[in-house]
Amino acid sequence: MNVRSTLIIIFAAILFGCTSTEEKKEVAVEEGAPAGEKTQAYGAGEDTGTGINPLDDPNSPLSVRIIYFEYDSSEIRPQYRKTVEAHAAYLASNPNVIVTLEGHADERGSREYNLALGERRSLSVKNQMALLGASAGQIRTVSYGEERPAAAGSDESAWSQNRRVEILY
Amino acid sequence: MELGWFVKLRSSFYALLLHVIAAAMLIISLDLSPKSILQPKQNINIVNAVAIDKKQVEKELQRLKQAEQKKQETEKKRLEELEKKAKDAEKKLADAEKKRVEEEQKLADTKKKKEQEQQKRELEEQKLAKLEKEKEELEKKRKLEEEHKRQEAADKALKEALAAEEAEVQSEQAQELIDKITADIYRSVVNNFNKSGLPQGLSCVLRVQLIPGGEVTNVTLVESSGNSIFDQRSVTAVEKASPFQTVPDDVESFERLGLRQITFRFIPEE
Amino acid sequence: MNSIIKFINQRILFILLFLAPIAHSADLEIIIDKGIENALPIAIVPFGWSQASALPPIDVSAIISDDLARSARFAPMEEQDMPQRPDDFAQINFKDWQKLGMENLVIGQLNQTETGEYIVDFRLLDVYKGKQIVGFSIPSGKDRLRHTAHEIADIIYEKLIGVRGAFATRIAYITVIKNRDGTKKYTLQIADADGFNPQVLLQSSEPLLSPSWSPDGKKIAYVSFESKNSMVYVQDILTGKRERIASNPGINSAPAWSPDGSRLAMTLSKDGNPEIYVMNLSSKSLQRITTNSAIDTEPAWSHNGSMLAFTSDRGGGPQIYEVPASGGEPKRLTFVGPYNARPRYSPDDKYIAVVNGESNTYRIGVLDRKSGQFDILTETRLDESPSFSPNGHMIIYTTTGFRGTELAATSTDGTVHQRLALEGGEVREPAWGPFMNQ
Repeated sequence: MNVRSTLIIIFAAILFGCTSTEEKKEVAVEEGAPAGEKTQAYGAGEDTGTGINPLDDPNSPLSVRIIYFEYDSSEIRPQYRKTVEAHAAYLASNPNVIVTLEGHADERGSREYNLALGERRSLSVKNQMALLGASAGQIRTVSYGEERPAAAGSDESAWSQNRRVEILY
Repeated sequence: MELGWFVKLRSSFYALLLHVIAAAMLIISLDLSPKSILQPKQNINIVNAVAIDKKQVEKELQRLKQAEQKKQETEKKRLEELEKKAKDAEKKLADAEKKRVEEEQKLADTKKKKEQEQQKRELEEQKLAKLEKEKEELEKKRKLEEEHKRQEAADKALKEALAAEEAEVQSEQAQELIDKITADIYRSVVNNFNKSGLPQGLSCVLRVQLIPGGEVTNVTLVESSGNSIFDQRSVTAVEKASPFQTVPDDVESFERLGLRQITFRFIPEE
Repeated sequence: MNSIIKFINQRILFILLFLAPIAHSADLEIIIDKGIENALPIAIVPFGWSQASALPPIDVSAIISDDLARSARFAPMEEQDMPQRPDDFAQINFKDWQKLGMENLVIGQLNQTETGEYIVDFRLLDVYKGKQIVGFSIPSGKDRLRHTAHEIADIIYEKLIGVRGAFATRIAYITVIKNRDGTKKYTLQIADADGFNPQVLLQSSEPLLSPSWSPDGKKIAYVSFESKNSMVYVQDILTGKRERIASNPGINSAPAWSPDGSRLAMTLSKDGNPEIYVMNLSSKSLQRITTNSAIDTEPAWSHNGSMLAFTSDRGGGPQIYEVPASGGEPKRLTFVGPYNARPRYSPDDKYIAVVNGESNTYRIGVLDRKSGQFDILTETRLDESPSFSPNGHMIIYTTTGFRGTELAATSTDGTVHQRLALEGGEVREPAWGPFMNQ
């Protein structure tokens, strides 16, 4: 009987301990960090004479803003050389322009490794641009890993669209 | 049987040997008797000599009677002397006779004694022979008994052998039955021994009491694995497996097969 | 003649020897060298309820039954198969249960006190012995009744399995809900181990990932993108108070608590590429553990505190390496398959669970640290984020189904798998919390 009542007390203690945690219901989104808004920084740009910002020219190689990668790779494939060169040249001639390179991965494998893989892709593009004349200070990199897929689905057609670096001015 | 024949032969030989010895003794004893009575033979010769002297005395007496007239005085004296002499001689003769009779008596006694001895010897011999015969009969009887006994033992052994052979057949059947029951118990306990999630390398020993019909009446943990869950799962396996279907209902076979108590050693392979 | 006797004698001797084990032996000994590996049969009889006029607030027996079934160690009997429904010891007819091969029986009563509180009585019984194994009377409240039921399941588990149950524990996870406008809502939640009683700790329009429990179960570290980059936060579960502890340029991610709760291992790429660091939480000082141009990430702290396992592609593809928590030369642990990532130590440090990938198939694998034996536990295609239950018997993980990622659980031996349906949207990165009352 003594043992039993002791146990009851123990259990009671545990349970009351738990109650207090349960009282806490929801936590509001913390801190004033602006969330969600996609900030797009537009540079002043260089007058090309056409009156159109080359970034907005659909015929400019600068209109290509996404570089795609192979699985578990951060190597820039030859078909994207022109794109990288164009952006590097644009940055070199517009030193006030700042660009953000967003690295992404497909959903396969672990999230944290994909976060690192996305970073490596964005750094790969950054390094190439820097080699081609852009200043490293103009280029921000961020990796979202697999957290922001461009295409939904669990097949190669979706995955190939998600392994990417987005060039965001 | 071979032994019997041999013993018989041997005892016959002993009997023969005894007879020969007895006979030899008899012969020796007869041969010895004259030598042993050397003294009395001389006495006999003396007696004969005395008998010859008496005849001469009578002849002298007749010659003296014829010369009586001639020589009265001297004759008378001589006669008296002679008479005296005769008397002495007579006395001597009587003595001799007496002596002879004595000697004869003595001889007769000796002879009698000898005869008695002989008789005695013969009696003894008879007795011996009788004894020998008795002995022989005893021996024969003993042998017969022995033979009988041997026969009996052989019969008994044969009987036992037959019984044993039957027991063997029975025990073989019992063994077969035990094997079958053991296999059945093993199977049903294994099928109820849930080792899911138990640590490896454990073992425990249970002593389990059964009643005819195979129902488990008591389970005792005699050697713990040190893990109470392992022990409990083992106990439950036996309890759940009860009753063991192949355990006989009848008490006699149940007891004969020694199923009242079973030891279970739970030692699952990894 | 003699030879015959001799022969017979030999024969008798032989027979006697032959008879000996039957007639004269101590006992027949049977060696049980095998067994079965089945879920334990158990019957949780519906608990009695004191207020006949009203329905009971919860079905205690159903919660216990579900807990035990989910563990895969038990096979609870369906209610309709029960020969009787006693809620009192005196009512039990043990023979009826024995006939059904039922080994253990749980009966109980839910009583409401005059003050509106509850008392849950329960007894665990050995059907073959007809005896009580354990029994308690537990005071509870309306909001605590589920928890009380989980605690009863824990007691039953420990009594019959020999290891503490992990039903009265909680899990943390990330959910993602797609809004109508195409944006997403990410939430960090905690819930009971059976998925009930979810509580939102944080919600954001930016990705959240890698929730990690402090060893005392009071805090959760995680990664939030709310500031346009991955940053590490530590949040107090009770108060909701949180602190950003890593916000360097580049990656700030993969937090993992030291077993003593004083340090946090994490991945930072502030020095050029992702490396493992250990941060002292009171001083915020950093110790760099790895130095390699390859990716080093996803640190996990061994429960004895001595080692850090992590993912690195220094060998070409991602594989698991291990390094002393104080720093040193990393040693590669995994060699099966081209892809092994996101290690997690089992509570006894004997195993490391990983994501094992080959072409388009990713499954949960378990490495036996001592023997090097590597086993794949799951059979689905895109399995991720393994997390051991605090008793080491289960691994919770995610798999990709029709609705996106969802929760699944497997026994550590990989014999049983099940999906855990949670309300609304995708569920990611489950982290099983520690025992709360150690």
